[in-house]
Amino acid sequence: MNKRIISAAFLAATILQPAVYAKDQSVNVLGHNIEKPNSQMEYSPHINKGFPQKVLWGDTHLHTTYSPDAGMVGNFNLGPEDAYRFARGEQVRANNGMQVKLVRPLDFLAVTDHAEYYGLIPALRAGDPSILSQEVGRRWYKLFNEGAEGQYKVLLEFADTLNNNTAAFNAEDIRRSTWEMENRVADEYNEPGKFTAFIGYEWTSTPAGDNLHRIVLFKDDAKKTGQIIPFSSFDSTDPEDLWDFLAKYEAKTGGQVMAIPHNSNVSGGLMFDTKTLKGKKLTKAYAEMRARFERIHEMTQMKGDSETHPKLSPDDEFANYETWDKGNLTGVTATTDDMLPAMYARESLKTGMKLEKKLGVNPFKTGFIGSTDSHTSLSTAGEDNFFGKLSQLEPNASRWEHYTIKSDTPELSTYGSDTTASGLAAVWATENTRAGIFEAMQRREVYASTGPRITVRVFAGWDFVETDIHRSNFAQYGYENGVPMGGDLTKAPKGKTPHLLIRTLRDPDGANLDRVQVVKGWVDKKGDSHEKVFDVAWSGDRKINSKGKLPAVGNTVNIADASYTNTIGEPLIFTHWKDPQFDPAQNAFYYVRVLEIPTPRWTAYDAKRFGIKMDKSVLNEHQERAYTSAIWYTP
Amino acid sequence: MNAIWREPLLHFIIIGALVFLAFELSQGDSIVEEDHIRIDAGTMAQLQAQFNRTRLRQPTDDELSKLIDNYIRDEVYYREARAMGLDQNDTVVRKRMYQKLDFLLEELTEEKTPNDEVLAQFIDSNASQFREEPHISFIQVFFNLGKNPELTRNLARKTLVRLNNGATPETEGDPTFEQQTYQGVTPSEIKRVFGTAFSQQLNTLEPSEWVGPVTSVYGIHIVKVINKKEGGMPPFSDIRQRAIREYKADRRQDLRDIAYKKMRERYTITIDSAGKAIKS
Repeated sequence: MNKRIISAAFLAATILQPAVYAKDQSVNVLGHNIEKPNSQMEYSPHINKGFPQKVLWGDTHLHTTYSPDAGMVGNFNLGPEDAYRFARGEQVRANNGMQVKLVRPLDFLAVTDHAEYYGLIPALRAGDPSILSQEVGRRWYKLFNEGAEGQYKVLLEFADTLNNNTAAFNAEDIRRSTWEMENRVADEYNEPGKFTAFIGYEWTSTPAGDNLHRIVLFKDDAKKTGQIIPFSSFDSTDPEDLWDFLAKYEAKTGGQVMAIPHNSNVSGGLMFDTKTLKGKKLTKAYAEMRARFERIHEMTQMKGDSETHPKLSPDDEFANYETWDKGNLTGVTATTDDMLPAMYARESLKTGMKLEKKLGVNPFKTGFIGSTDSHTSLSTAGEDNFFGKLSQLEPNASRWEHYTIKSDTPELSTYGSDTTASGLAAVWATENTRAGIFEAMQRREVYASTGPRITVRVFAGWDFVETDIHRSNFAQYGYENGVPMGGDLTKAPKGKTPHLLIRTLRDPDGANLDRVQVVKGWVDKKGDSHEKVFDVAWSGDRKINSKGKLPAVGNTVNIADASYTNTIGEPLIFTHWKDPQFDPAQNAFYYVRVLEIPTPRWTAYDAKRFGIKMDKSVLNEHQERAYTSAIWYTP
Repeated sequence: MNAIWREPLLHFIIIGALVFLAFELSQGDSIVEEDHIRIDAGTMAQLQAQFNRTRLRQPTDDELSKLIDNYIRDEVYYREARAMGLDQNDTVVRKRMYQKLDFLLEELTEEKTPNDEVLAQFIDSNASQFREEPHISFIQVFFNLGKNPELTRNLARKTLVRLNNGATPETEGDPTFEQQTYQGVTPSEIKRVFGTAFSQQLNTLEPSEWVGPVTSVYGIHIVKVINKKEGGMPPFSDIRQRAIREYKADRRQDLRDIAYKKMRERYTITIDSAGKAIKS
């Protein structure tokens, strides 16, 4: 008894010791009341012109300890508050104990924890009564407390139940209270004009290990989102049911929401399939619902790049970038060639146009973004500051050889070295608010980056000329006389051809640019689709050779030193391009791909900093890139 | 009255008492006799609340009597198990105790919002984190060095003279960014657009005539700084929310380490290693 009193009093003393921060004297609060410089002054003189002025950078896909896989594999501490603080530029201690900070803060972030077993791990940690009231819960609780081995067993059970779409365990009160908490934190960190904190979650449909995941992103605040709890893949694995739920949400609350597919590259041929999940033919109603809720596609992230595959684009020498094509998400099924067309972004745009001809609506008319999908609560897409896909893959000397996802079939397993320090979502929004960014995403005026902040602006129109690229009112002229990325050109005026105006700047803290390319896809009279990659502008005085190829830009990468120099490439490339093969009767799309000069990959930084040698098969340099949303032409 | 409630010493006393009470209630055995299980109104309310949290309604009489039965059963098991010493040397029990204490530490600080005086001290000792950056207004005319850098530099020098003789910047230089004029922007914003080197050079310039060239990652710029306002500490009210967040995060990070250190200090630890006793 006596001892307990001492303990309790002692504990209180420890906790309540006021932190002594003052140097030597007390500070008068009023002493801080000095004049605030220019607080009302706007950044941009064009602020009221009604079109986007600067590109905003963010991440719409990030997991915290409230996602079961994150919480179970090492992310024991970091919740949404840490995630938002980190994104806003504050220093945070990662789960491995290291301090971490971004070189530049993000403009927006969505914390998107898995809806399945949402909030379970922190509740398991706390021994929440509603967990211990169920037999499965008690067993998991016991395994969880046994340490890493037991935790891995629980994780396997999670994966199994996800593959079979049956919840082993349901604690609605935990899901509800976690949802309310995450909504509240997002509202608290959301600061219109300065930083946007979105409310969102991930719907994790994984039938037989095929990745059909969607990020569900809300435009709204907790007043609206608090009226529901996340629709999970345990409710249904069929995206059609998700869209129905989202439609009901909008009808009930007057809010707005979108679904963002990602990792089509591990979808086992399902993400952009030409039939429904139930195996039925696509209908116009299906296309309408999909087009209503799925306006953008997260096509580059830590689990690889989904722009295109070398087998789909054999003429594209840059197609094989961070390719993940061993198998589906959990490594249950190997990838086969027939699956590829439904698994990559470029091909999906071609398929979408073909379907539009049949159905009258294009179900796959998606813009492009990148995001991280990190499970560490830390959005790190920079090669030299990469804190990994999972907390076990936070910086350490052996992370490159750890499993990322272990499969029963050894050759379908993925490893730390396969993960990518990627990506970011770039948004041409009129303002940094939930509404501003959400609306830009809906009109697809967005683009993807594999990490660097490459600025890209593109306009397409019928009457642009070479000299327009030099206009001082470039953006205004572009909007008034053409359409931006994500837009539509229709019914070509007689004798006219699409002209593109493209301006691109390198990341001011990054590498120079190698080249600007236009990727065109089209559908011919027979209904077959085609693609072509045009090199439209590049650095130096390279010439396209007799085989129609532009020689490589060169390479300044010193792998041992994990460094490069900007002695090759260009810091900015402005160009005008006219489609040399335009047929006004054919559906087509155009998107811009900008390549950086070669730079060290994160693995090179690891090798240098930890003084280690990796397996020869590990890639240690690459050409990072930006992919704009397409502009579509419809006859 | 309000001032008293914000007094840290009072918090100290109240929370200290609460911690003690919480410990007593959760341990229980010194208040309740060993062989007497009492179901009082408090226990009943707790059972009902637990039920309500999972089922979102109150239990019926029948359900309540089942809850009570279960509670008694749990309690009998618990006491018998403890009496038999089953809680000793059990890793799960040890782990659970560890977590309960860990959570207690976390929750107690979580709910405590520091008063303004503590906050002001926190801001003061982390001043660089809260200080507002300087704000600079300037005009820049850009030149793309492109294929003939020497020619472009000459052109830039001539433009500099023209601008100082009253030429309008709008028609000079090469296109680059949307804006030639930037009003009241901070070094971080400038760095974000033009890169670190340009931002640093601009920082050293005072309002004056057109000067240059100033180098950026994109090329060279002729620049006119219109005005510069030094940064300072923003009004307390503007940074209060952020300071609370940072204070709490700071405390959250350190707290468990501090608490552990303090608790550990009370123990004498002897580690026998290879026959050699090390005292700490």
